[in-house]
Amino acid sequence: MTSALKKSPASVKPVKVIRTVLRWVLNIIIALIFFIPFYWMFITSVKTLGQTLMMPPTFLVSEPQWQNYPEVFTKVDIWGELKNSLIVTAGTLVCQCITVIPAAYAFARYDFKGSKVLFGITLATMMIPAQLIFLPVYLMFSKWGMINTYWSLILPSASSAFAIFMLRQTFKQVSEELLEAARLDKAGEFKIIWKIMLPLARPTVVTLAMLTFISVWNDYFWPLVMTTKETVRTLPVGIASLQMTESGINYNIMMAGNVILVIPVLVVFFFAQKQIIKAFTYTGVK
Amino acid sequence: MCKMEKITLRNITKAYGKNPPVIENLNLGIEEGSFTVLLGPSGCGKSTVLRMIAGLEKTTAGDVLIDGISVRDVEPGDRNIAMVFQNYALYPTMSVRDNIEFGLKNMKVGKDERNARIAEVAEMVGLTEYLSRKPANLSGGQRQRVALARAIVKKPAVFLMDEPLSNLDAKLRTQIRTDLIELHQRLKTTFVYVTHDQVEAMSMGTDIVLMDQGTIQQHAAPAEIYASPANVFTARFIGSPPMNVVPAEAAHGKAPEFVSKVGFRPERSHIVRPGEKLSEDTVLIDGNMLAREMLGDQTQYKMETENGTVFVKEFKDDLIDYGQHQIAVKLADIACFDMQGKLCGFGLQKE
Repeated sequence: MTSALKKSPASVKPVKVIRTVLRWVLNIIIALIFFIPFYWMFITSVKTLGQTLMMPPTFLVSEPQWQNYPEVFTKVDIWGELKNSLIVTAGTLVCQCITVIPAAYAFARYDFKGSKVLFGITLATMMIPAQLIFLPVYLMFSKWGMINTYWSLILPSASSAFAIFMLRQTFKQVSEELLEAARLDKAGEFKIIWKIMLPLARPTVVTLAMLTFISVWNDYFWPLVMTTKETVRTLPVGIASLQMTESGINYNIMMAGNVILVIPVLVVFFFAQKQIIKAFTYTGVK
Repeated sequence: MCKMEKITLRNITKAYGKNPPVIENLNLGIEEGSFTVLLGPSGCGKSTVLRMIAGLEKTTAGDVLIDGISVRDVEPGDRNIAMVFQNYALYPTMSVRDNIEFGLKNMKVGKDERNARIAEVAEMVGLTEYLSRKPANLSGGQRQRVALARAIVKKPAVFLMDEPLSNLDAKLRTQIRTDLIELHQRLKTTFVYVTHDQVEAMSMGTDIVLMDQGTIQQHAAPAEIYASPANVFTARFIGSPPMNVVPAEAAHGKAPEFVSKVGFRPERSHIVRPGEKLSEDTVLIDGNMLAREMLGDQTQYKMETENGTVFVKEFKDDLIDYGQHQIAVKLADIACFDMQGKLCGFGLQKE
């Protein structure tokens, strides 16, 4: 029986070989497309200023200029901005949890009056670009004296229509029987959300948190508009200010700053990737 | 008959939205300590009745009483009931132990008491080794046991079961059927069990409530529902195979005028052997054999007669060959139904 299972080299079809090779080539090309910008950023960050301006550009560096990194710290207040970034990102995540989870649960599980209209309005907010509302929001915040506070950075993204939509879809997949069983087990709505819904929706929640983390962490527009002082300025704004030097742009220093900016995102992604893959392949528990 | 009613349904009406009601003005009393089976074809409203008792479904009109008290404003979790669902409804992210414990925790049962109860119930249903597993890593039968354990551990006054065996294979089904009878004998609490399988109903129930199109057709003990079916529907639903019901004309004028249909149980008829002597009070029906099923101790014959197909069930060892035969039924075994389909009695007069 075993002999039938073994493949002799002659039985491997050439079409199959070509297909496998093509698939690998394609995979490698895609991987390179995503990898090269990161590599370029890193390699530039350890070049001398002269090397960054060389034509044609070099892809290898024989003597990495590690001192570019301490240099970043002397030019901008990295630690202070890192702290601001962390506060704003964490604050946004907490606010989104508070607003998104109950909203998604209500839209998924309750058929209240006007629920469809409300849900439609919620989705419609996704179509409004930030550039359209930043002026009224700015005026409102400045009236309330909230410019240059963390709140001016957290509140605009304290909820997310996209997250509500995604989580609602996940919550909808949970069978009604499960909730009925929980009700018969004397569980209240919050206990149902906390003990049954959220554990089942974990991959989605992790993915959404990840997406929010990336977008808030990297956000340049809102912090630029809402802050005028360094005290609440976040990392992307700080790194971008490296451009504004009198002697032209020091690409190597700037890229070093960018590496510092990106590292937390990569770390978070590394730990969350298993859940993210799950979220996109999740089909519910049978 | 002075046993106390545990659950009373009073003039219950249930309608979904603006559609005509699926249940209208239904009255039902479920005795304390009984194993009551709500039986009927799919869509007859039996599950809806169960869900209204549980409080998972609101009544459109009427009242549900538990221990004589209306539970209209009582949450499902506070009704002192436990339910076993068709698809088990186990919490997938929790271990078996957490599944069983969840209700107790919500009921604010102390930790020592919880541990004692879980140990006891796990032993009872044979899950002790599986307490740390997740439901996904259990077989269908084991999941069923977890669902049962989750209900038993709460020590409810009423067990509600919504077709709990329909997802199991035949062998397991018969096994858990016996387990449930044992459990009922042991706990002596009220069981309300929904099924469409009359075998389950007959074997487990102390009371059967047979429903069709939202109304109760008959509410009686299994023996009674078998011996004297209230109407044609009941006669055609109970028994395997159920009663053969044919138009009264088939009795060749022997039936009184008010009788519109007559029927006989397959097991109360037999196929006439060559040279067999038949007594005076026997009626004979000509039939052509369509199918023959040998089940070991019994044989079922499907016969085509001029009044439709009928079944004959024999407990004899000799098999009868395919072909034309005569079916013999004793006059005393023939059930008569009136124009409304109600049973008027057994037995026909020989002219």
